[in-house]
Amino acid sequence: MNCDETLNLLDPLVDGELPDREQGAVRLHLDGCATCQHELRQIKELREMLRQAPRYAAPDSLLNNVREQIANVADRPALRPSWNRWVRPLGIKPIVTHAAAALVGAVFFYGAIQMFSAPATPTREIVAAHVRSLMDDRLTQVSSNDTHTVAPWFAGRIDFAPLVKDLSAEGFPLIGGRIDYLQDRKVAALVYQRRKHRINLFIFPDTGKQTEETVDRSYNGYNIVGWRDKNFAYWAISDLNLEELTAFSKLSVAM
Amino acid sequence: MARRRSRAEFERVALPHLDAAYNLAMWLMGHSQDAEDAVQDAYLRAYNAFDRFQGDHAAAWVLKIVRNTCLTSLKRNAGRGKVVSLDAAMSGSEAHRIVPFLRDKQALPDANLIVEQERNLVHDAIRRLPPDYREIVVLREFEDMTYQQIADITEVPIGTVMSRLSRARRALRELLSSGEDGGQRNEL
Repeated sequence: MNCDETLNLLDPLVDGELPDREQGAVRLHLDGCATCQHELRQIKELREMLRQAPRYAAPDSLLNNVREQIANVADRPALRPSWNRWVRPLGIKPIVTHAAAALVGAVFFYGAIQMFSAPATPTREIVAAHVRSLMDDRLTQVSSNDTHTVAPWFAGRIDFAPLVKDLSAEGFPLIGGRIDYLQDRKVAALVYQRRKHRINLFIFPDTGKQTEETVDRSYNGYNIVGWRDKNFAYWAISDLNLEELTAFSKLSVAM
Repeated sequence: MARRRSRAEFERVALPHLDAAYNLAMWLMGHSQDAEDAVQDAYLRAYNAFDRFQGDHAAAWVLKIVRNTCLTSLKRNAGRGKVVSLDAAMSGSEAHRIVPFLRDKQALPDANLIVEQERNLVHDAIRRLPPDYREIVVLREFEDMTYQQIADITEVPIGTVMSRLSRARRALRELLSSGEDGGQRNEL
């Protein structure tokens, strides 16, 4: 083995990536070659320097954020049942997947018709308000788990008095409240929590002749439940699953 | 259909590699906030793809997803005309996030000023490598990936990994030995 060949193998040698049979040949050459020995020392020295160099460590906040994000996704039903996983091994022909896609399209279309024919409710506005509230730390203007702190806070800020319920015993602790803006008016927004999920409950006076039934829908991954009593309209929205959000709405209605 | 694997299992497999993920993202993105965003994105992608993970080498699997996420993000930013500087943003302000990297858990490096100074020189030198050489150095020297793993993560042939690593080391040697004379640019 000559110098050129040896020099090319010094990095793999240092990295423990050189097969045994080649190692023998390289070491044989090294024994009798000062130039290659010098090169090997240099590579080892550099490696020592690099190994002493510090490594960036993930901040604690990142660990928390990652875990929280995974928890949020995990609580939702699987959005993408791994399609390729069973389509591909079965060797299903493209025509079949096209047919399936057409079916999905039809279902979508049906859903769209359903949505447009449903009573006009401010779904997108509610989602937008919810998302806005989660950004920029403007979730609450009054932060308290005490209903006797949150309810009076609204006095003088809006022209109605929303009922603020303590649902902490049922697993929906109150976080606080704020004023938001929906359907061209100021509304009360109460913020509750379920595990890591924030729930916005929008309340505003509504004496219109809309349906008294509870409606639920989902949009962009958010679940929304709406209902009304004789004075107010209520909209609860969260990334919480629909079952628990419905339970939340029932608790809010009761009493 | 196969049962979706549990979140607890994902956390057990993937979270131990969070430091490795963040370290690689820092070297690719150059900025702590961008690195954090990329890592968070990458972990979400990893979670969604967890059913397809074969369980052979979790660190390499996570790092490959982190790298892809970083590159996607850099391309998107470049498309928006936002200036992406891999080098400039990694300034001294990140110093507090740097912890000693201990390959050998027993051998604590001396935390004196001279060592600190050397560390910065090493970082500066790595930073001056072109990104495709830099990532290979980071994966090899900081994350202890094998040539094969580096080839898988960076999606280049193993021969390319070897030649880039060898060139990068030669460049680093030159950068570090000429550090005191202001450093000469090294042609790779």
